[in-house]
Parts: sequence; structure tokens; C-alpha cells
Amino acid sequence: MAENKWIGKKITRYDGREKATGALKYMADLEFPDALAGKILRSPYAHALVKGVEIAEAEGMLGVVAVLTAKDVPGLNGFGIEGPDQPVLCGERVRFIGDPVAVVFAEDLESAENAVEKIKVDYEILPAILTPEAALEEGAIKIHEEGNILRHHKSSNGDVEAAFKEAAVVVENTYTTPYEEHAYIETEGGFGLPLEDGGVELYYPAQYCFRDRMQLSAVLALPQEKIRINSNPLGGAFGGKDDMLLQPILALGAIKTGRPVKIHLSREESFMASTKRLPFKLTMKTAADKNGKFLAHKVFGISEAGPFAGISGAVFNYAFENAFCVYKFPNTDLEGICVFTNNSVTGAFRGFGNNQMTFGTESQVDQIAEALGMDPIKIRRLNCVKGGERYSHGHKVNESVIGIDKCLETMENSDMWKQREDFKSQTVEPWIKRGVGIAISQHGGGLGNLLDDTATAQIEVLSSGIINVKVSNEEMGQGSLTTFWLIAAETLGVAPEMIEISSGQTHNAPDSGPATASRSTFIAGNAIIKTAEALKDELKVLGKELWGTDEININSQGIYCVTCKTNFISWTEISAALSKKGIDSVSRTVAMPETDIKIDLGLHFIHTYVSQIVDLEVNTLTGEVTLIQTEIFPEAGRVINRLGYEGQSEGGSVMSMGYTIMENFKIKDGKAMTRNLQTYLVPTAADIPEIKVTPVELVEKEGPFGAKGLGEPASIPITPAITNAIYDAAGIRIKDLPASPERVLMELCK
Amino acid sequence: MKVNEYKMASSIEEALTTLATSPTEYRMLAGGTDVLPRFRDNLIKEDKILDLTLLKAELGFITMDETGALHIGAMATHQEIVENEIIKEHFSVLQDACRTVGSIQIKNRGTIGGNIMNASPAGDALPVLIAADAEVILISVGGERRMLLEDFLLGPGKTAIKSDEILKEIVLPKVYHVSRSNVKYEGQYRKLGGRKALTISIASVAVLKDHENKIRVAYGALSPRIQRASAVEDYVNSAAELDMDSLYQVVEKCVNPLSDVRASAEYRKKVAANLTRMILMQMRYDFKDESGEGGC
Repeated sequence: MAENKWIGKKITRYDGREKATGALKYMADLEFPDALAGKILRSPYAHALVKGVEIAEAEGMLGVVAVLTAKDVPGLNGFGIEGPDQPVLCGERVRFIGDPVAVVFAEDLESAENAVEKIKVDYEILPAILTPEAALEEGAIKIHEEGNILRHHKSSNGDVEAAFKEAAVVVENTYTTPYEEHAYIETEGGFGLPLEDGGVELYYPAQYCFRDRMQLSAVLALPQEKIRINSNPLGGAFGGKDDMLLQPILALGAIKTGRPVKIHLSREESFMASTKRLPFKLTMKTAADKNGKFLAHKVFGISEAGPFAGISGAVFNYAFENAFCVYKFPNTDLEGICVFTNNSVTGAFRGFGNNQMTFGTESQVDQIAEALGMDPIKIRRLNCVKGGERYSHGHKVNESVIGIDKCLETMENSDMWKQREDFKSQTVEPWIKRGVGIAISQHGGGLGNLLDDTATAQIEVLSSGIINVKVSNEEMGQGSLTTFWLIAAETLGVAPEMIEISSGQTHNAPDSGPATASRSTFIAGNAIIKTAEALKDELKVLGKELWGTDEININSQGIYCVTCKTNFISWTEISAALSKKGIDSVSRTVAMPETDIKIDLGLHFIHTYVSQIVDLEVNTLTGEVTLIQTEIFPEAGRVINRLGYEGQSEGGSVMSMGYTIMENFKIKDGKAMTRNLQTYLVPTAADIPEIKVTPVELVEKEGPFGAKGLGEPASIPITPAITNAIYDAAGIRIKDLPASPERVLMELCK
Repeated sequence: MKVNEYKMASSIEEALTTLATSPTEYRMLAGGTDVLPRFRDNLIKEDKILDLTLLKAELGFITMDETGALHIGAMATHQEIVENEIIKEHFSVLQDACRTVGSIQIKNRGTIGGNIMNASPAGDALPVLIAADAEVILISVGGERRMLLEDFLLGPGKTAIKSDEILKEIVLPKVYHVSRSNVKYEGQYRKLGGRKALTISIASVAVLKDHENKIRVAYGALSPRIQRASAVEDYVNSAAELDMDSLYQVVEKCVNPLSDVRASAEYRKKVAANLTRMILMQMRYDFKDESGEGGC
């Protein structure tokens, strides 16, 4: 491998100083003169018809500039990634507690809040669907005209029933997983600004400005060219800012009032209105022969999307795409149903359905290993997909599939694994039990085969000598700007300081797709490399025209002729020189590699693999689970920036540790009982164990400098690693998340 | 309720005069860590605030008198208690309790007086104070009165304070010797929350040993009112040999927990007994049954 100058090192973030000092302005920190404050009136009912909305009194109140309802939506009153089934403002029906019915824009927030209380809505309450099972009952009220089923997947291969009969061991269990709230520090908020041409500009944190623009065009009945969106930066997203939320209301407000408008949600409103991770109920039946070779895996799963399709159908599909985890099962049977309910809205959340499924499958694998008296790593190595083999869905994936076994092997050789018995023996109090657990996961990068997945990058050399690299993928804390920065610098052969990244601006960056699906490093990185190479080609042509030689080199100073060192053009001169040739910028597009066969789940060709060990303690008197240390082994190709890589690995581990032992989103009659961070607990620094990150660096030939995505993959294996460790410590099998102190103690008492 | 009047008292005297002459009630503001969130959530009925911040000069003290009793001014913050050398030497179990309050920022703002006046059954400092028979001194223009904290706290958000009084100080009688070095054996506080820090108690327990080697116990977040768990105390102090079943039965008599979003009543009861047992075992009390592992 050629020695890289920037790639693979520990480099301080592109946006690190601004963020650490607080200088960076997030959207709600911006100030626009004369901005109006907006307050949304939301439904108190889980399901009801809207018979009338009386706004006259609110309109007449001091400071109120506009009161908007469904009647004020000029275009399509609906949005949603999969289809426009979520009303901007509900005019006919509300489908969850928090569905917006009207919005007040006033000179100040207090006036807006006072006016909202004076709006009278005439509701006719409908029966609410509060469980997935209720959605499927015969004669159940339909949440949407087409019915209550969003997805119903069935597929099978071989004969699972025959395999169960001949198997040496069959393990069957039902697992449940709860909603999860993203709990990003930045609640949703931003500005809508009217433009002179009748258009609108938004400053609003979001994960895909171009898709928002397309959806807003339909809502506002405006051509896309009249809509400008600034979606970068975000103060955390994790999938929760994938689909639109306030964008249509802000745009509408700006257009109707002719003034800048601002809405910034409180934590309670954010909890109420934003999407959650899909809850799942999974019944799994898994079989192996006496040597531990897997024979069959049968999964029946039911999940709920909440009231709208959003992107929940894709999450559900993705869960089932990962039903076999990293293993080869000769006989398979999958069935899953995802339904509409009047509970919280669901959507994307780091891991995209894979966390729920892998929790189940990796729990099954440990139980089979135990039943056969096998080592948990050995049984995984025996059964994982090897190089050249097809996946259990029948498709072929890329060569780095050998990373699965490499992750397992590296974990098997780690000190933590070798010293597990030592760790377990070092307890003092009789009520503290120590355990060690492991798990592995895979995670496909990109949008999957059902969607076109491309990215365009653009590079412009400015007259200041700054090299402006443009992609749409937003920075939401994951470190993508740093990744793009280093990739561009390494490819061009210049210092990173010379490069400025533009992202998340529909009017100033090309469409490189969403900042989701662990795709940004891979596909936007590849687009930047291709574009940077194209720029280098243009510069070499320029040099040849000037100096008549092919021996042109590029460095931080500019371009020069290698043989005649006196000939030189600096970066500040390059812009003008390219302009003269009619080149203002260079732009290239790349596509995600695809699988050879396609099924309705949307398969992926490129995967990241992650294995993880957890050392923990269970207090058998209180049920508390305390993680002592964990080591994570990601095979995400080559490391681009070691700091970012460790950050994603640690962040993913901690986030899903919270999901596994702590975060307990409770909903009753469609109403969230955990309505803010006082009762919905996420981990604090005091809960975080020692985390060791050990990269398993294989070169991904298709990836930028050999890299793959890591954002989501790092959040997946820790959940079953924890529950497997709890079993190892205390002999109880946690099948329902979270493994809260109460649940653990109650399991111990069974 | 919207705040219509805000007044900052510069001295105890000014605060008391204000209260004595006001026809309607003020909401007192000390550290603000409970009052401000409650205002935001519209949970406060008064529309007037009397800010006591400047009383810190008069009520921020932590002293020990000639009898060995500790006096803690109502405006002493949790962090000041955590860092105080006198308390470290003579009643460090209170430091353990105050350490579990919120975050560093909350400990820096929140006062011991506020923790009492908020009268939450989950107040982190309260079980230790009540187990220790702490007294409160209340002051008004008419003078001072003194009563047991246990009698002062009447239920969630309710105290025996009169509308013209403020809480002046907390007095801890000299019946313990719980220094930093012997705290494990002489007195313990254990709080169970949904996470390791910045969390409201699901259940808590204080167990102290007095100068006669008698055990005193109080539970937090397990009943509407925090009181000495006399049945548990009597059992532990008189039983020839402790056993888990009997302990569970006496603990159950002393607690009356709620089921809420944090935990079920059933779990709270179990864990109250288990935490008591855990602490007693650490204080070298033997249980005849089991190894100390089980908790059901």
C-alpha cells in the first residue's frame, strides 16, 4: 500500500474548533430581523376526525400575524419518503397524539402560544389502533384507506420443518424491542424565509436537502428552483431527521406572512412529534446439527410503523434482509408484517431495523452454542458466510465478506476474550456476578437494490486559491466533513487546510444523496475521488498547454512542470486559468455497486462487519447491569480518520448500550408516558465503560481508499453482546428490551 | 402560573418582613433546581417569587457546636456539603447522599434547604437526615421554632411550614460517628436510579448505627412520606439472627410505593428489602439463609 499523507491518521475534526468553542451556529441559533415565532396546535387524540377548526378568535389576538390550517396548504397536503400520507396540517383526520392541526405565527412566542389556546377544533373521536395485533383484527378501523398493512413479506428456501425434525438442537424464542427516541441534543428547529421571487428559503437541520426540496415543491405548488434549502449543520440526527418534520410548516409560514418565521421545538414537543425506532416482536426458531452446523432459521416478525409510512417500510425490509445475520442457513422461512397504528410515528434510527433483528438472531446463536456445549466464537466461525459463498438470501456480496471471519478471529485472539475467566473470578460482593458476552453483526452500506443510489460531487477552485469541494451529504456530528476533507486532500495531493467543504445547500452543492444508510463515506467519498481525479486531469491538460510537457505535478502551492521547475501556477491563479478554458468547476457522479440478484427486501452488495465483547456485572439484589469494559472490532475497510473511526465506534456502542439496558420509551393509549429526558433516560458519562476500538482493516476494493461506512454498524452487536453477557453472569436470558434493573431482577426471581 | 412579582430578599430580616406583610403567598426560590422546571411545567400555584439567593451569607454555614451537634444552614449547597471537612469527619453518610443529587451543576446550585422544602418523597438527602433524627429550625418575625424533620415533612410537596416562615437550618444531633473512614460499617446510603448519575431515585435507603449500636433506617421514594422504618429497626435490633424472609416482611410493612413510569411498586418493595440486606451485610450483619446472592 502506498503511504498516505492524511488518510489513516488521527486528524482533528474539520469542524472541531467551532464546535468545541461553541462558535458554530446551529439553525435555531441564527437570527433574522423581524422573524415571527411559530407555535403548532397538535392533536390531543390518537385518532379523530377533524370536523371544524375555528381560528377567528386566535387571529384577532394581539401580535398574531397569521393562523394557518389545512386550507392554507397551496399544493398537496401531505409528505413522506415512501408516499405523501402525512398531512402538513390535518384538515380531515388526526392519526396520532401530536398530529399538527394549525399553526400560529406571531410577533413573539408568548403571543403565538396564547393564540394557539384560542383555536377551537371540533373533533369526532375515532377508535384508536394501539397495538399491532389490533391493526390486524377483522373489522378494525382503517388508519389509511388502503388498510392497516404497510408491508407483508414472505420468503422461504429449502424445508425448515424437515430440518427442525432432524436437528440435534432447536431453539425457539420470542423477542420484543421497544420504541427508541433519538434524543439528539438539538431539537428540531429553524427558519423559513420568503424570497423576492415568490420562493422560499429554509434553514433547517435535515439529512437530505434535495428530497426535502422535491417534497416541498409538491406541498407548496412551487417549482423546485424557487426553493432553497440549507440543511447543514445538524446537532445530531441518527436517522431522526431523515424525513421532513417542520419544513413544510416553516415554508408555508414564510410564504403566507411574507416574513422570516422561526419554530424551535421544546424537548416535549420533539418527543411527541418526531420519529422513533420501530418496535418489533420477533419469534425465531433456529436449528443446528450435533456438530453445531446451522440447519434452519425461521423468523416471524410483527412491527408497527405508527400512523404513516414514512421510511418505516424500508426499515422493516432492512430488518428482514438481516434476519440471517452473517450466517449461512440452508433452510429458511421468513414472514413479517408491518402495520399502521395510532402510536408514535416511527422511522429511521441508526441501524435501520438491523439492531432489533440481530438482537434476536445473535441471542439464538448463543443458546444453540450453549445447548451443544460449544464455544460461542467457534460456532460463529463455523457457520458464517465465507469468501466466495452466497448469502442465505441467495445473492453474492463483495470480496470483503471474508471480513466476517476476520472479525471473529481477531476477537478470539484478543486479550479480553482470553482473559474472560480471570475477569469473571474477580468479584468481591456475593451479589455481584460477572459475565462476558460476544456478538457479531453485518450492515449493508447504501440505499439497497430497490433504489437508485448515486452521488455527485463538484469541485471549484476559487480565486482565493481555496479548493471548494461540494456534496450534499450533511454533517450531523458523524464527522463526514472531515472524511470528505481528507479524501479530497489526499487525492489532490494538497494540504487539507486548502480545502473547504460545502454541504447541505441545494443551491450550492450537487445532489450526492442523503446523509443516511452508512453511505456518505463510501459513495460521496468515491464521488469526491472521481471528481478530484477529473480536476487533476484538467490541470494536467492546462499545464501541457502552457509548458508542452506531460510531466505536471500538483501540490499545495499549485501546479508545476516537474522537469522545468521555474514554470509554476499558484492556486490563486488556477481559477482564472481554468475560466479562460471555459471551466468553472468539475463534477462527476458515481453509483453504488449492486448485487447480482434482487428481491423485494432490497439487498446490499457492500457490508461492514463488527464483532464486540462485553464484560459486565449484574447486581442480583437490584438487577442493575454495569458494563465494565468492551472491545469493538469493526471491519469497515481502511480507516480514513482514526479519530472519527473511534468516535463512531464509541458513540454507536454507548448509544445502543442505552437502548439495551436503559432507554424505556413507554406509551399508553397512544400517549408517551416518557415525555422528556427526565423520565426517558439515556446514558451519561458515568454509565460508560472503558471502550477499546480495534480496527480489523481489510482493504475494500470498491471503497474510497479502501474504506466502508461505520456510522450504523457500530451500533448493532453490543445489544446481543450485553444480553449474552447477562446470561453468562446470572443465568437469565433477556428476551425483552430494555434489560432495566427491574426487568433483570424480575427475571432473576422467576 | 405566570410570575407577576419577583422580589429578591437581601437579608433574613427582609425576607421575613416581606412574608409577614404579604396578603398572598410567595414561592421561595433558593437554588432553583426544582422551582424553575416546575414553573416551566405550570406546576406552581403561586404567582410571586421571593428569591433567597442573597441569604446565602447568613444561611450558608456548616458548623459543629460544643455538644457535637452539626448545624447546616438551609442555603448550603449539596456540593458544599460534599466538600465539607466537618461533615466528612463526623457524618460523611450525608455526603454520600448529597453526592447522588443530579449533576455537578445541580449540586452547585441546589441547597439542602431546597431539597427539604421541595418535600419530594424521592429527595436524595432526606432518608439520611430522617434516619438521623434531624431537626429543622424555622424562623418568622415571631421567632424560631424547632421540630423533627420527620414531622415537618407531611407528604409529596407538603410541609408544616407556615406562610410567614422560612427554613433556617438543619440540626443533626450527636449520636453517630460516621467518618469517611468507617462509613461502610457505621452508616450507608444507597440510591437506586435508572442510571448511574443524574437520575431521580427509584428507591433509596439510609441505614445508620447510633452511639448505642442500634440501627436506624429510612427509605426514599418508597412511600408518600419519608419516615423512620421502625419495624425494620426493631427487627434488626432485636432479632437473634437475621433472615431474608423476615426482613422482607418487615420492610413491606414500612413501605407503600407507587407504580409509575420509573418502576413498579412490586419491584420497589423487593429492592427496598434487598438494598437493606445489602447494606446490613456490608455492615457485618449476618443472615442465616443463603450466600447473599439471591434477591427474591
